[in-house]
Amino acid sequence: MATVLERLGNQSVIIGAERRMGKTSLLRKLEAEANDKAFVICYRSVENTSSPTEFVEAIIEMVGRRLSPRHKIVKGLRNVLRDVGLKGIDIKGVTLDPAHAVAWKPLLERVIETIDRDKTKPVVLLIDELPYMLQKIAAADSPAIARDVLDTLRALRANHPGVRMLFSGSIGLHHALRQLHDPTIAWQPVNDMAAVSLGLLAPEDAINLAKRLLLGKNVATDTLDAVAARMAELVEGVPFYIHHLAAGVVEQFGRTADVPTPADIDALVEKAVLDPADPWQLAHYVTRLKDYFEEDHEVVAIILDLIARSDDPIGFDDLTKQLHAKKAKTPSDDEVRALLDLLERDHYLVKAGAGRVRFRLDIIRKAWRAKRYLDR
Amino acid sequence: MTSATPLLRFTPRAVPHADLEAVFIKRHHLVDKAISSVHELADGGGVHHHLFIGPRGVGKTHLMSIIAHRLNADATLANRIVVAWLDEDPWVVRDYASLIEHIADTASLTGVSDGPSLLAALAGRCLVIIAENLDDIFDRIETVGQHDLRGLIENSRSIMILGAAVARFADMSEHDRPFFGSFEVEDLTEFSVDEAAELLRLVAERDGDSELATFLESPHAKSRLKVVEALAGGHPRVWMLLAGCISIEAIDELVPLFLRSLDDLTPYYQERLKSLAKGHLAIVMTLCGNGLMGALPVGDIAKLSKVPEKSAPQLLDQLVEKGFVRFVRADGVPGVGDGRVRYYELREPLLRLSVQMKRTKGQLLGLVVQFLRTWHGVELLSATRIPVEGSLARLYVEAAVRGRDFLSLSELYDGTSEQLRGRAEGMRQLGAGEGSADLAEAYADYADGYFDAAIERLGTAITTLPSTDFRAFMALLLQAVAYVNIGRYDEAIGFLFAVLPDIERVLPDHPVTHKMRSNLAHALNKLDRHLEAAEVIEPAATMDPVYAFILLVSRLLQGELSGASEALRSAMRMPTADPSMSVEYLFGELAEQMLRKDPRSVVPWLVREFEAVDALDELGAGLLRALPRFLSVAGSERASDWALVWRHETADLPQMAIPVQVLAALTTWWETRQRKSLLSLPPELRDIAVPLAEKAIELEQLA
Repeated sequence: MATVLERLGNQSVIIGAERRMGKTSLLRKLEAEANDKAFVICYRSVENTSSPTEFVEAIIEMVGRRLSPRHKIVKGLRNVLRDVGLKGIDIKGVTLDPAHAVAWKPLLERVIETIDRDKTKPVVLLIDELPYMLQKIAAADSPAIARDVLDTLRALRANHPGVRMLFSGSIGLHHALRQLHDPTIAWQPVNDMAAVSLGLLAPEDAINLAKRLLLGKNVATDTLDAVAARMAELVEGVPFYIHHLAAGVVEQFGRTADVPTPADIDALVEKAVLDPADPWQLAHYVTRLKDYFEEDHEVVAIILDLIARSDDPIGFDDLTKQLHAKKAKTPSDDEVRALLDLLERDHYLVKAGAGRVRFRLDIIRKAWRAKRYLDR
Repeated sequence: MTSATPLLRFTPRAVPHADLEAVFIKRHHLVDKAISSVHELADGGGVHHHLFIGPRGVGKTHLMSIIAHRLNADATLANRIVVAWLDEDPWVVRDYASLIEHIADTASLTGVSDGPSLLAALAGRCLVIIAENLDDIFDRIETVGQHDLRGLIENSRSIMILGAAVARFADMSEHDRPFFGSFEVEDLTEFSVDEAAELLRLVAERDGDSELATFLESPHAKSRLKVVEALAGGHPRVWMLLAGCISIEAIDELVPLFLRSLDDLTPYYQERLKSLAKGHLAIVMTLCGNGLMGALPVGDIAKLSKVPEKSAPQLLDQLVEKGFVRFVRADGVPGVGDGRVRYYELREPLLRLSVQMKRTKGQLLGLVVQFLRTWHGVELLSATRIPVEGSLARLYVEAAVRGRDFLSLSELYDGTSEQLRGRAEGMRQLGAGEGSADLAEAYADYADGYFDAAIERLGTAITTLPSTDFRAFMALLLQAVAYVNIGRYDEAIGFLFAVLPDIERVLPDHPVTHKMRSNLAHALNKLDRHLEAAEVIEPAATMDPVYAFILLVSRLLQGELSGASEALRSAMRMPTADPSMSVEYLFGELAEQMLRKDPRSVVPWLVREFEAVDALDELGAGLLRALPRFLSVAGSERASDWALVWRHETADLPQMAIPVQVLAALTTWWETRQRKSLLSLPPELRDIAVPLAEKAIELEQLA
């Protein structure tokens, strides 16, 4: 949260993370706790927004909900609405006439301009699920309209530095951009924004979360410290897996007098990785490659196999050499680099110093090995 | 019985709240959890969605009804929440817009046409959506509607979902779906026999039948419930069906009653089958099987149901999602073969049984039921009876110290091994003489199966205790029994021959004396001294069917068939709680002894004699019970022979069909060690076979 606030002090931000890593919780926390002297922070999910016009409505609404009706920004927004023929309506639930569909761009410009009118502190628009909205607009209208939305937002950010935006979503923005990309033009609609990758929980936070999930659940607490520490350690602070592990512990020990041990946690992780029912949805890391990488998915899978097999981080030269040995038709070095970059953005990999890469999470590596039958 | 409102088994929503509460068991913690989430929501805390997963009839509607009623009755939530309890079968929902309308209808909110107007109608209150078949609703509103719903929830932060579904479904479990990971998922498991008994007890109490309520806790009632559990897979709806018509007199009729309930369920299952597409139906019917159908791998299912092998995995996945089929982990059963291969079987055993009942006109099911009845009767009795040595100690003490205040002492040597160890510790702390504590610990060792340790401790006790102390005598007897258990027959025989005349003199015709005779005869049989064994046990043979069986074994192995036959008849004439107990106890001995003989010389005689005394059920159960020991000493070839002979000799005896088929599966498994042989049994028989297989492996390793 501190990192995001620090970045928002200077510029707009994109938050990237896997699902269930706590993005929305973070946005909620920002809205609940960081609305202070430094920022006005407004949250809105645009998951149910499917046109540029509705997007403008959403922006008006999110600000209208945050600020008092007498705030000068709200008064200004009401004037904007009056100018387009909507008078006296509740700004918290505005519905624009579909006739304004064509005019969404000038309207959005006026809205952002109005929001930027209060120069005392930046107004931060936390826009959740933006990539999904873009995909929806691209499908309903055209990719060009979706691109136009992003371009307009970029221009507005440049002209109105008092308005900061934060984009987040279950789908990585880079995937949406890749789909919207027009190969005939150079297009960089978000390169003015800082990318913040949502980190894993710090060990002490992860341990606290684990403890919180086990307390009051009728699980013997004699070994709580050791068990919580092992939970945090084995899933490297991913809250989603900590939740799953805690549920597993409660299920196994919540109705008996048996005391869980750290070894039981190892067994639960092992079980989750090997269980064909895949309760932690780890197979997703294998199956989604087709959607994410389309025609490149096979070579990407081989790259991940090679990295998963290696107990130590693997260097680029070593990787390409092994890749050549594995596959007759191999991509160029540049192409491999681009794929590694994407894999890093998709949270599979992380740089491990000295030009080497490894799996970001050991549990994903374990799952990859199991699902791809790499374990001998 | 008083006449209370009838409990409707299919529509708990129509049952008054108080009645639902009166018969609600096991899941109180889930209700508490859901309600505490609603309070958190109403207090402006976080939003927690809950999802309850379980097959049809497991009690989802009952659970949801309790939650809905309690929320509506909660004064602290009044005017703060609105409950929208959606229809169980939400036909009116076609898309997101109609879902919103349906929510408004069920919550009695007016003027609602879309998300924003729904929020306006709530007027600051929170909304709790209760949706059974949430998977169905999500399916109807499609991904785009799910995004809209999630957007509404995220932006309002005042809406929570309490959903239920028959199985995990893609819309909540796959990463790229809007509601992925949004639910706290709780699996509703089936009822154990104890829980079922609890349910039946509550229903009896509700109906004012306190006598039945008490009776349901008896081992006899539970042995009958166990049969239904094995067949119905602990299906709560079946228990509810039975609950209304059970009585003390009818407990032995429980199984026929179950079959009749199954008949009641048939139209329900037919309806459900009708809803299936062609490919799905073919697979389900294959898994219903004609005979004893167990779990099958994908390839076999494709072949048998004639669906293309390529599409079979997908069809099966869909059936899993629909709650019709479940996969069985092969590594859950012992043996070799790829443990990762998925085997599939029907999720609800009742569906298979109901189809089979039609197909075989109830014959096969009747046989399975008959077998399970014998089997579970045996198992339950052997699990609950007092260990023989424990009762021996008590009997001896009672006899020896009658009239004196030693009763408390007798209790010292009764109980679980944990209790005994605790007492030994206590005795030591009180300084109550080392011998007493040693004896208590020896009993504990004996109960845990540590016979060597028990013998050693008994040695200490015997040297510490004064030789006139009756506890020294108890130690000597237990030591002899322990010797028998570890196969040190010579030592046991020597000692028992020496003390038997004295025991006989002090306690003529006493159970302790008979017990010592049986131990001695048992040891003599082990050393092939069958004639002596017969002489030793003969005076006790009319006292207890078990002793008659020892005599039977002695005679049979001695080649004295008419004497053996007489012993069997005498055993079957004796009144006993369950005659199969004695068969079970002794069949192991017989089987092991028979390894050294040609099975063809013994099996026909056994089948004929047991048939003559109408004890084939007991023979079947005993045969299986003894199998682990038999397998652990027999080579795989010998085991196959054994199964073949039994199959041949019982071909025209339907009563033996089920045990012989289980025997065949187990011997094939022993020969090939392929998991497939065990998985081929239906779950109610697999649950019996797998522990036997595990026991055989354990014994083999010990050997």
